[in-house]
Amino acid sequence: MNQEQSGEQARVLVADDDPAILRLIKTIVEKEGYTVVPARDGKEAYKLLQSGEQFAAAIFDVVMPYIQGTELVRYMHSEKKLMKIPVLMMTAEQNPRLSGESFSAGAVAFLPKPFTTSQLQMMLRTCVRKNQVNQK
Amino acid sequence: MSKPKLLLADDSLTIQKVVNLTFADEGIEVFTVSDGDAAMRKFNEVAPDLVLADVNMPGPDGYQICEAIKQDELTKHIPVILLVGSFEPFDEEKARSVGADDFLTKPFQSIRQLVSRVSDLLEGKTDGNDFPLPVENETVSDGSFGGNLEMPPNEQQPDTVAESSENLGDVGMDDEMIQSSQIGSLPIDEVHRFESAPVYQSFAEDLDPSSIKSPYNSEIIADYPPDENWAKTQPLSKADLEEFRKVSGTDKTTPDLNFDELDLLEIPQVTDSELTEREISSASAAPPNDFTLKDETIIENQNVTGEIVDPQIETVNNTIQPEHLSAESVEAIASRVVEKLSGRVIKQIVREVIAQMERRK
Repeated sequence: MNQEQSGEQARVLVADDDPAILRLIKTIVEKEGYTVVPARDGKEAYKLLQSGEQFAAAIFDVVMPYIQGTELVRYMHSEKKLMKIPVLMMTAEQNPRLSGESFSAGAVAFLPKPFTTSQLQMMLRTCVRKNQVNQK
Repeated sequence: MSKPKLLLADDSLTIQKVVNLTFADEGIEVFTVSDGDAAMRKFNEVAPDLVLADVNMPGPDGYQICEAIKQDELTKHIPVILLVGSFEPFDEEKARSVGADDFLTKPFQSIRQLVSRVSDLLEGKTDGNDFPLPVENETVSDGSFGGNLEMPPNEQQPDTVAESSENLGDVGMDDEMIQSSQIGSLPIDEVHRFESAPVYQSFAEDLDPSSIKSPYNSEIIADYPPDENWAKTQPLSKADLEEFRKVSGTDKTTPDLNFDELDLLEIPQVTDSELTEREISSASAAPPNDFTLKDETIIENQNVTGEIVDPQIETVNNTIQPEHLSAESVEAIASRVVEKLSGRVIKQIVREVIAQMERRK
């Protein structure tokens, strides 16, 4: 039984080493009806992924301590269970190559900072919906 | 008591890192190598308690390594698990004949499955329903650990390292899998290694984004920025503001931030020592670094009318006092801050606010 069927709010994993950004993204994602599980670095995010919790989507900063966002996505693709989770990457870096690297690692969306609330909401909706269609 | 040792032979760096990360928490010491020759050397060197060997890697493959281990009287008791890519051919008969204890497909169904299988084998458990196979072709060793294992002469292969180093094998996927768009949703024409990976992409050595056809390809990047309005959407730098002051002839348009106005928010300072395992597991229930409203009565006193068109100008011109803002307005402003400011600037502001609050205490 998935989270929606059980009446439980679907969870979204958000990983960013900047507490202010983490808090703001949490606010935005919660408005979309999700429970946000925050992580402050790549290692913490990986442990949460391994904890057995189900996630409807994940939002990762590209540059994070311990494990970079792109690495984290690659790790997720070593497990069938985790590779189904759509990952949205974001970054404040101005390097245009990062988007290509994110996609090649397995992310399904890329959002350069600064972004608007509606951009994030729209991308999250698209990622989750596309994933639901793919799994049907 | 020393930690159990696990030898992983797999040319996928992602699998190596995932196994390392996972078993570090399980109290198992992991040794990783990327090809069969190195695996044989490492095996003799560290005397592992269990071996994970990819059936498709440069040099002697997993079958050959397993056969060499199982042929030696001193090492035949060491469990060997073969790792097989989902899209790679797997010869179960061959695995059986070389005496493999089990096999797992990559990507793993779940990393916990791997942990559980490894733990069972280390504890000598077999349920009899999976892949445990009789050891065949036993030979007497020369007495040293692993008998300085060598590949059986008829199984020795020519040096294929150079040829195989072109293979990716990353995250348990081969080219076919990558090209079938299982990684992301974008077609990839060609995949090859980076010569040298920059620090920020410490694990991007397997894939070259320049080979990817995406909306972010080089042609679009060459035309960047896409149109003349692009600059209007970008955050202003300090230099831009200085220039604006000079041109407009006034300092009132862009005054310095008064951090007293941010007194509305309390930002608890969290130290690294507070980041415990327990906190991580309960992160969803009680997120850290929470902002809390200091005085909820201000919500009732709010007096904000109309939409804030541009907080950089409107906020200052109307001299809005933070005490008059509702939680909703603060949230709207915070959202716009994310839109307008870079991460670096936001970090700086947070640092200054926290420092100011510390001084007041």
